[in-house]
Amino acid sequence: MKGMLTIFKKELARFFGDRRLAFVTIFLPGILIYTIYSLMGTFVMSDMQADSSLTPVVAVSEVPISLKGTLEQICEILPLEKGQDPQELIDSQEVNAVLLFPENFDVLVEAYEVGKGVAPSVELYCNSSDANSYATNELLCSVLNTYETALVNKFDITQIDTVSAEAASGQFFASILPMLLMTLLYSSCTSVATEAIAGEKERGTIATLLITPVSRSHIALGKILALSLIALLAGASNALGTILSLPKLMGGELTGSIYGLREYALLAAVILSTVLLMVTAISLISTFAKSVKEASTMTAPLMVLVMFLGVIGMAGLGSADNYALYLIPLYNSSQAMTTILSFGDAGLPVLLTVFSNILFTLGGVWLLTKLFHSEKILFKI
Amino acid sequence: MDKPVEILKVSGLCKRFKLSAKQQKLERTKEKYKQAVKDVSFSAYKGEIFGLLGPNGAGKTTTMRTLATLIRPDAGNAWIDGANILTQENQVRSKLAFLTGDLKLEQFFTPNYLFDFFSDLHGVEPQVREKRKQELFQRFGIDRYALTKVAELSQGMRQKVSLVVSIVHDPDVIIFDEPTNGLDVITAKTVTDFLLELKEKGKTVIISTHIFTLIEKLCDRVGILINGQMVACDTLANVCEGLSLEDRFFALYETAEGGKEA
Ligand SMILES: Nc1ncnc2c1ncn2[C@@H]1O[C@H](COP(=O)(O)OP(=O)(O)O)[C@@H](O)[C@H]1O
Ligand SMILES: [Mg+2]
Repeated sequence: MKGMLTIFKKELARFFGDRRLAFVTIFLPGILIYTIYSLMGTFVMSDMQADSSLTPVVAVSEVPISLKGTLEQICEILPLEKGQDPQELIDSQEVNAVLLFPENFDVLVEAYEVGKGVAPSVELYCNSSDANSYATNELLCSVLNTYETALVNKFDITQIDTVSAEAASGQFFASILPMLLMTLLYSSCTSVATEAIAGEKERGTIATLLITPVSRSHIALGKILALSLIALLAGASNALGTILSLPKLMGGELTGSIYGLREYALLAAVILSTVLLMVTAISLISTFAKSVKEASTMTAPLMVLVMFLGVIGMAGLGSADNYALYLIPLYNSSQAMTTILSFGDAGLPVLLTVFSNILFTLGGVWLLTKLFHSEKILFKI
Repeated sequence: MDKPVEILKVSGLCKRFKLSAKQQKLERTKEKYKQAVKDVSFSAYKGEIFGLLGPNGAGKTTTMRTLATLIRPDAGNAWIDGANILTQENQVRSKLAFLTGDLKLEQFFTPNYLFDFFSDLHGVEPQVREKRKQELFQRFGIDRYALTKVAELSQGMRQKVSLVVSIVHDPDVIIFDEPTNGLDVITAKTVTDFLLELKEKGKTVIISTHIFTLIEKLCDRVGILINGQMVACDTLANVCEGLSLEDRFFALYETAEGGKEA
């Protein structure tokens, strides 16, 4: 036990004593992610900023009397000639949008009864990748919607349902965060674990450890716990950077505050056990490598797997309703995160995930101990 | 003269390695296995320096790693001060130090930290540790660099640090693989002087080398290892049979190699 603690402390001292290493592994990724996402957000926003001083030009066919006045106030109307292609008009940037009314729109609207017959339809063309065109489109849409509402007077679209807004944010986080978190955690685990296992082998310092009377399982455990703690801090910094910057990326419509203590606690349990498992897996693989470089190469396929599982989670494929699936490592983590973030019933899935992760971690530590006993692996030449 | 006390007893040690394809090519052989150590037996006594002499690939390092419990023999056994290397690994590890000429240290730490770290792993009490640290650091001139990172030390100083942190637990048996390998003459002298000092203190020192003069200078007894086999093992005088060690070695070598071809 004492030996394990000594190893644990040494790994931490090694890591935190090296300010540069600690900064590069823990703080830098979080700061970078935050900066990049925020910048991306700002950039995307400003790119979509329409030139507000501009009066939009709209080609309109069959302008109905009822809307003519309103439309003339907000934009310059060009009559649409017969045979002109709306697409080409927009592409040539002569107009910002094209609006096609059916002939006798007013009459049709008058005659139309909700739920009976075919509703008159209006076609609105725009190019959403062009900021001005997009803004014009939004403007026209809101005018038309208002008009429609006024006419039919049955919809109540001003109501804002906070629950559904939360659910929407949750859905978004659920689709993107598990994949991001899993990938980030994995890369943090790789950078610390390959160094501490393959690095010691490469430098030849592992033999010095192994001839002390500390048992190999304690050496393995001490290392894994210390590495997990470091990877966890790195992961937390990454996650924090991501969560804080997502609202900026998405234009302020999202916030992590939709989640309560329960969600964060469950998420923490999943992340913690996942990091233990990842560090163990990477340590195991690194034991076979002769150098840190080789170890990184050898652990790369696992990274692909992690990303793949994340993508499955994102696509919402097979989101596990079969609880046995929560026993499959890595897959369970990303599924459990998805469930938590989308406000699903996550209690049992998380329990199973944590249970499975800890079981696999213990199995991994046992294996690592075996490997530390194996001269073939430690003194491979 | 008192009857010598047997501290190390090695009996019928065998170890073979499975060769990788790369190694097969390197050693120009089609054999799947390499018998690195064949039925090696010898003893070492309290207060002596025992030398394992042999060319590269003779099995010196493998023998020493087996004694240090880093690898397990296929057959045979060994005892260090009564502790069995197969069944009492931890006792063995507390009784011996295993050093190699190219022993590496974690560059990031200071000698002071490493000394404490290994002391903790060996379960040395803090008071004992501080006293020993002061002694050894002074003896090797490390005290001035106690708080300097290993990465910033000279090669010679690093070797001294690695020697010192290997013996934090004051072991009775010191196994040193190629003690002067890669050392400058000054550091090499410090190391060999220290080995003689250990011997004076009644410790048992086992060294391996391919350098005849080192054996002649340090060792009381010598074992000659060729192709994994101990072809001679006795006091230096008895092994040499009136020849110089070098001449005697090559005579034995030719016999062994000749026997192999026949
Ligand atoms: N881990 C290993 N795997 C395969 N072969 C090995 C291994 N260790 C040593 N050998 C082989 O065993 C033989 C003896 O090696 P070694 O004990 O290192 O010799 P020495 O130290 O006398 O130079 C060599 O041929 C070496 O290639
Ligand atoms: Mg050797």
